[in-house]
Amino acid sequence: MDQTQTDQKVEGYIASVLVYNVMMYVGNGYAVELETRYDAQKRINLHKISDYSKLDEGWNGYNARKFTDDALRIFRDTINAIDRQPEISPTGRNSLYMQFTFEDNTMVSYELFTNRMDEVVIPYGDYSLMTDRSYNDDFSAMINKRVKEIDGSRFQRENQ
Amino acid sequence: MEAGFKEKISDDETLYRAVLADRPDSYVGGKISPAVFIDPAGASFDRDGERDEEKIYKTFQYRFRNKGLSCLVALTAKQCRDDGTYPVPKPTKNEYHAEVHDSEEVVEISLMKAILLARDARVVIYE
Repeated sequence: MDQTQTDQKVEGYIASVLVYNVMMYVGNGYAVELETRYDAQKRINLHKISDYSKLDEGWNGYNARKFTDDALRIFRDTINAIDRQPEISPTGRNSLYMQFTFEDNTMVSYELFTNRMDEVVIPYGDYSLMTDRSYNDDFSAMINKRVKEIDGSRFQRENQ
Repeated sequence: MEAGFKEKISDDETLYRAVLADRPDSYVGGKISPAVFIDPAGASFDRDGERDEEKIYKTFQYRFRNKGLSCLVALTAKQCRDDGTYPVPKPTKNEYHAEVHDSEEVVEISLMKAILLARDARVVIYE
């Protein structure tokens, strides 16, 4: 085999690996992309919570409380245990605001306290359909369940 | 200042609340976060007191000159009432100070009402 043939063989191999990777990406791409995105968002959210621990009393210019160690631990544990990641924002009352927004404008919001979690769902962004409820335990399991339910029902509607 | 200013907040009055420059994550989904309206007690606001909005903004800028002001969020008292909350005059050394409570009976604003306030709030910025 001369050098030209060797080069062609190597190029062919590289091309086949590339094609394989592209096919794998197309095949599994959506799931891989989502997983990567959620992992990255999880790291960002954990980093944010770490920053919230540095906020002092009155950090919002008003009466905001300093976050307790207990609250920060619950925020971290919850963020670590949920699959899809929300956008988060600190509140002044030692709780964490979390928001999931879906493509059909459905919005699911949570306020996570140390001993309670409040939920508000706004289907399709229609505030007249707004509902709320509270949970007293299993916060991360409940978020995973509810987000899956809501995303699942949305998917079913779109494919009917 | 008009007589009766401290006793009643009329529907057409605008209420302003500061969002500090170093407040983390003031926006979610590209909009002001409901968390901005969530405090241990009711949310503090300043009434307009028939002042020019830019003047009100400058007053806040001065008050928070050390921390820096990102923006103000503004709602009319009618919007607050339509959202089911309860604006109350609470003059301190700041005669314009008011609080927005969850209702006449409950001080702490619920998540649902904070979401409604965030939906209706206008973001005010002057350079």
